[in-house]
Amino acid sequence: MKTVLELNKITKHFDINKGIKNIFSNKNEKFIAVDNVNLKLQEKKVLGLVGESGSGKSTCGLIAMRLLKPSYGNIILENNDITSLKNHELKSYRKKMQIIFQDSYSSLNPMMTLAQIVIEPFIIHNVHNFNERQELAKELLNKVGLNKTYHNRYPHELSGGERQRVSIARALALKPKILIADEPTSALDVCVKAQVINLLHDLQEEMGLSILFISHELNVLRSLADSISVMYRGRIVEEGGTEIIFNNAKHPYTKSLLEAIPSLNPHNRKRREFISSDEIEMNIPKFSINDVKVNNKSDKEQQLIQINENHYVEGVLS
Amino acid sequence: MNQNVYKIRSPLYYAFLRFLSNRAALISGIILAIIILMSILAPLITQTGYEEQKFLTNNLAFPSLDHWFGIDDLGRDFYTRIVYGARVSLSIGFVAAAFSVVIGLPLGALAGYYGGSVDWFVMRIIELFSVIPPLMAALLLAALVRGGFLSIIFIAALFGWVQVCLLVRAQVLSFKEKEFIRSSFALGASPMYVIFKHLIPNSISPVIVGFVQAIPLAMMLEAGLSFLGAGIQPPLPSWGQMINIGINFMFFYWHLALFPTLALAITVMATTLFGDGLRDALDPTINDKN
Amino acid sequence: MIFYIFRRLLSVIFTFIAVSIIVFIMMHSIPGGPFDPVDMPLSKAAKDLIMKQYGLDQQLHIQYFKYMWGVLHFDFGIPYQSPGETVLELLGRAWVPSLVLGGLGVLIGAPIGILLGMVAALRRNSFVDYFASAISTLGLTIPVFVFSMLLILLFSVWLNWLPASGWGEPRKWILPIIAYAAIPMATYARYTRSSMLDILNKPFVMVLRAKGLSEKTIIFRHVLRNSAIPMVTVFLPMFIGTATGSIFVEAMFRVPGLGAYFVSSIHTKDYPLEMALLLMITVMFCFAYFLADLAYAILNPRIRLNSKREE
Repeated sequence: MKTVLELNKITKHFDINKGIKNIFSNKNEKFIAVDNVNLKLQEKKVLGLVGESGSGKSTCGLIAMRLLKPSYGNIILENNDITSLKNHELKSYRKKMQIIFQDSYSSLNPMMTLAQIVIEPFIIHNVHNFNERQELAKELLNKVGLNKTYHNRYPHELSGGERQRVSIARALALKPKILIADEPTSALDVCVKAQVINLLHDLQEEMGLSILFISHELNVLRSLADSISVMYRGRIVEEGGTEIIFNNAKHPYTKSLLEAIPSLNPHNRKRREFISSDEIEMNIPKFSINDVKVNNKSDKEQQLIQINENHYVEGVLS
Repeated sequence: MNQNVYKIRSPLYYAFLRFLSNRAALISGIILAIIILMSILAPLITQTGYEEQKFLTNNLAFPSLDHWFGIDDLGRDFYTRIVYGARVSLSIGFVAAAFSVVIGLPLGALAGYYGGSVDWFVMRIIELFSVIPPLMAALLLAALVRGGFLSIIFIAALFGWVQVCLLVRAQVLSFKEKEFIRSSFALGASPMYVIFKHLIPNSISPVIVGFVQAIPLAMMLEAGLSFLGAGIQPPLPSWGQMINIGINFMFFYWHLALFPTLALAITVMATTLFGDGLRDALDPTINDKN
Repeated sequence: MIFYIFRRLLSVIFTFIAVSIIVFIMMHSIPGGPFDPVDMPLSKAAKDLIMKQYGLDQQLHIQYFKYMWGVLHFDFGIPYQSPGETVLELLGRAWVPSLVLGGLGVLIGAPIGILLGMVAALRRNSFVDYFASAISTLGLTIPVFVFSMLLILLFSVWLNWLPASGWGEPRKWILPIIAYAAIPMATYARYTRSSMLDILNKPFVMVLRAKGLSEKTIIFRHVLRNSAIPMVTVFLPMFIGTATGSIFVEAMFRVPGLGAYFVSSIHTKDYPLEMALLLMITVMFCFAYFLADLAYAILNPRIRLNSKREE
């Protein structure tokens, strides 16, 4: 399988005490948002990136889009290293990879009509003439399920789900290969969530998109993702095929996420115990060499231990 | 799928409706429009030029049917002087406010967008301007250039740009992190594109508010400076200047003091209330957050 | 916290220096010296002598440094217009009228404004409310010297109740004080009203009522405290601004205060006096803002406690 997007040893620090006002302060703390993360997005597949708020998953998405600069590491887009490209060099790569955000309201310029929003990509890249753009705008809006009455409306007249569709339409205007979806359904009601997920699924099949779907909702990912990476405090702690993770999670954090999903079956309702972060740290799974698959170099860099085909866990080899 | 046919309403339309519902602002706007109209049509509604001393025999006469505001100390029709004074005040107000925007808008946009040392630098300059009592500094400057029409405009602009700059900067700061800006960058837009196509159009409302609020400030500054003798020099009529003269005569010929005072008060009040109404109308810019 | 204070003090000093340089240059750029050939025709020799005596023949930056050195020792020089005393002494004299009138204006206007605002907030949409709103709008939009003029016209010229000028007896003070009181009153009325309304609508007030507390207790113990903080912090700059004398009010009412002296010093190109006034007032404003910020930081428990947590 071809890897279309790869995040290689990505690390991101934030300096907490920067600025002229702290010239006299001795503190020089760094907040490590993303710690040595490796992600591989396969062609035409959906990779789910799950974690709680503050785990660094959105930061990964922004770094992949080069909206944030990584402190360390590489971003490889279709075998091209785009980590250090200057803006004008980067521009042509931008067509291949797009992003949609969680807040549908601030994702759209309130002063522009929907048609204007959707053709903005054409303006930035200077393609198509005026008439073509209008036609394409209608097509794009139709594709996401918004008919021609929406053409001249303003964002404030739409519901959350409709706005999210517009964001999707705009992201797909330049026919990218990769779509990064940063919690696009987190702010939506349940029914609307389902509609947007269906839409993404259909578009993915139709356009052959590879999607990096960032979310904190595991059940959403179950229906959409082919494989899942679990992030905890800036690190990937487990990754593998979707069903493998759901049925056979090994890391304590993944297990607690799965535990936390409310159950529909009344017979399965039970009191949930939540483990604290210290307990998670103490319970990092230990494996003996016999339990694990091949390919485990004693390379200190590699934190994830492969315990199966398509199942990697953070752990300690003993 | 619903086939509703309904009109397209842009955010500005709602702002307009909000403005109309504000009675004080509406009345002020009408009064302001009347004053502006009068000043533009000045030659048509007055009988003589503002500096023609045609009525020396009737010096200091009180208001009458022939001379609605009376005659001033140098034999000029006072009504004419007041109306032309409107021209002076309003033109200085508008042009100075325009210059305030010309200075404040780019500085505010750059400070808000680039942040860091650019912002620090601009904020230091603003601090400097805020701490010196503007009137005193203006007086000093005015004395430096010995008054005059253009200089007063420049000085008024110099003390009005700060507010516009702060308004624009705040707006840019709040919009900078919005996702649609990020989306533009994600699409490959350059900073200049983002600033001009997104940030500045979304800053229109603070710019309008800043502009309209700068007008009465400029007018007041001009009136004040003229009152102190450092502003508009005679024979060009300025209400502040006329009030100064009026003080000398007020105990007997109160009309010389009353009319410029009223004219100034009404004009400044109308512009201020209009500006406030505009700000309130434009402030909750986008309603409808579903 | 300490770093914050230190930083602010630094910026005060920096501003002070910057202002002094700018003003010094501006002052000396005004063509003509204090000894105008038209008003005071002197022979060249005499002029040179006087220039030398006042140190005006030296280069600008030397004059500047000598001046600033003196300032650090609180020596502001001797005013040209009244060589019999030092600038400091003159200002000491001049400050009294400004302080009395301006100070009284604020001290009278602010409480009235607060009361008006409170009553307006409590009796919402009543006549008092509209009245208070109208007054505060008027007070803030009518320029102060227009207001003074109207006061004079009404009370002195037409009604002949009160004298229009002078500084001598207390009777002469009434109109200027009213003129000074307008802005503080309007500001506090508007602010008190809106902040009280804001707080009265907050859920915690509903809880207090449900607890059974009397309106009086609620207002005085809880609501006022919440709205007091910004009101207190805005007081200091307002007081300084008014107590330094409005140039207009003093010109209108012929009060020999700081403002009046400033205007005359510009006309007579009295450099020491000009500089001293500008510097003094600028520094006072700087400090007023600084203390206001400090007071706000101390009084607002959110800021006070947050900074403690950082340390």
